[in-house]
Amino acid sequence: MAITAARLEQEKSRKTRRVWFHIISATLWLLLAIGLFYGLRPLLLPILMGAFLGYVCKPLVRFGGSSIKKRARSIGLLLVLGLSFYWVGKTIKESWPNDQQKLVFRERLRTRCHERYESWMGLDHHGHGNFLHKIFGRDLDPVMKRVYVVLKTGPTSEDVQTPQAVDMMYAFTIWIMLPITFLFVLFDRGQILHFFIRLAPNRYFELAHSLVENVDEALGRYIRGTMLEGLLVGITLAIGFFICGIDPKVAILIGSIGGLTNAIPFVGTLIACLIGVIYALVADSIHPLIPFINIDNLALAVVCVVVVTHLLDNAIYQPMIVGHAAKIHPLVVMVGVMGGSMMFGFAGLIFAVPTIMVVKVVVETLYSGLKAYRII
Amino acid sequence: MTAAKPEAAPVSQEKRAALRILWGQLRGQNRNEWEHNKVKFLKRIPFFENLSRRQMQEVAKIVYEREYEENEFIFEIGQPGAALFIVQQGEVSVEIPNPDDESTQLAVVSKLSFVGELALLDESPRSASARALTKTKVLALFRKDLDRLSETNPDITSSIYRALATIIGNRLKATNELIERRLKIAA
Repeated sequence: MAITAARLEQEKSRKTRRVWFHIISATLWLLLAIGLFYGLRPLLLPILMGAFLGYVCKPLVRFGGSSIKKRARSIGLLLVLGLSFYWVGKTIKESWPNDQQKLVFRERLRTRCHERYESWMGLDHHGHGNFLHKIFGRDLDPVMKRVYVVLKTGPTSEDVQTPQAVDMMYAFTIWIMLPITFLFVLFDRGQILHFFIRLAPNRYFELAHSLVENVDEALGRYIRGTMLEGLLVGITLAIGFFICGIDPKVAILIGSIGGLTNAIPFVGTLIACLIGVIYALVADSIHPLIPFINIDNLALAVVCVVVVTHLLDNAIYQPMIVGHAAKIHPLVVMVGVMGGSMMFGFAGLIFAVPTIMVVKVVVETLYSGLKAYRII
Repeated sequence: MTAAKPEAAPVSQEKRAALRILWGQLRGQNRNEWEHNKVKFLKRIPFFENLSRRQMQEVAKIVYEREYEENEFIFEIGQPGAALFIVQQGEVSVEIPNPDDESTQLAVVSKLSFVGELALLDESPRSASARALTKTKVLALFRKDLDRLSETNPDITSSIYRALATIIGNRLKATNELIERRLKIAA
């Protein structure tokens, strides 16, 4: 009897010690994590981006399989994908105008805008116009004057800085983390998740695994679906613009911007439309594949391409690719993206949607899981 | 006159063992003793008896090792099933709780046996609770991990599911026989 009481006492004191140990070690880990987070701030973006890209490309490795032949197949696929992105990036870089081209572009845009406005409003030398000018002229004239002023002023030479060798070296040492993290996450076979799940107490072990798996499934489906959808939208836009006669490199550039911004509801389509129309207004010569498109109705053709792409996206791409993936309300996405970019800049812009998705899935899964496991 | 041919020095046991270890290191084996032991243990489970050594290593990578204290529940009745638990050490009681806070023990599962195998098929709630009778070590194999493994190694998962089907079939047969016997007695 006395032995049992002593054993119980021993167990109780061990339990107390265990609780204290867990509290102290958790606090120390938290302090260490905060310290590391603060100290390694510049590394966060490359690491997060590498992890994000690795996570997105993971199905390619899974698709390949585990044998040597299958691995070679997945590595080949990754190489093809990497080279494709490299080629698109190179094309975009080449099509991106330099300072002199930007100046010429702005000047041409200003002149063309002025010409178009005059022709639409039927303005003569005395400033008299047609009925459109009589109705809207009072409001539109100041707006157009403002547009001409904005297009006339460009960036000053002080804004353009030459990168120093030290800065470049620093950037290299930081951004080298991106490919390293990418490869680690890409070829990770569940070890990272295993490590975290192993930390869960026995009572929450199955729940923790289900939670992680559900989040992974929903997040992966959403992110990969959205990215694939963006890729298809970008390709459709580029092909559409090319058919309209826009230079292939510029078509790829505008298509890429439209595809990248497609994750932001409405705004993506609007941006692609706006850039396409601006280009259509300043274009000098076009080589359309459809005979009735000419320089005068190019802007209209561009708008038609964007509308058709938007309809294709809504009718075919979204249902086929994103399909059953968990959805976020467009307003939440817009507010999230804007809020993210305002608070954390570029990183906030990129990670706003995945973060909202993680929070949504974690809350949903955690709530249903806690109820199913009778914890709440 | 012929000179006696010198006898080839026999390779000693130690040298052989050293060479074996070196070969293992070169092949990336034995790097993780813990995983090696897991493979050795899993080979003794009927679920995995048809798997090759390489396939077993793939399975060993996805199982979790857990330790439960005496009287600690591994899972409880009604919870969604997500994993199969293989007893590595200790004893587990499979039981159904009664309304009077007592529980009816259905079986006691010991080393090399498993509980919660139906969780590998679907997420239906657990039909009984599993409680550690002594300090118990188990290996947990999750359905979702197995599903993922089937994407890269369908041969492994098909073999596991075949073994599972056989086990469930045998249990069904035994239950049918038991019901038949009871019916005969009742008649």
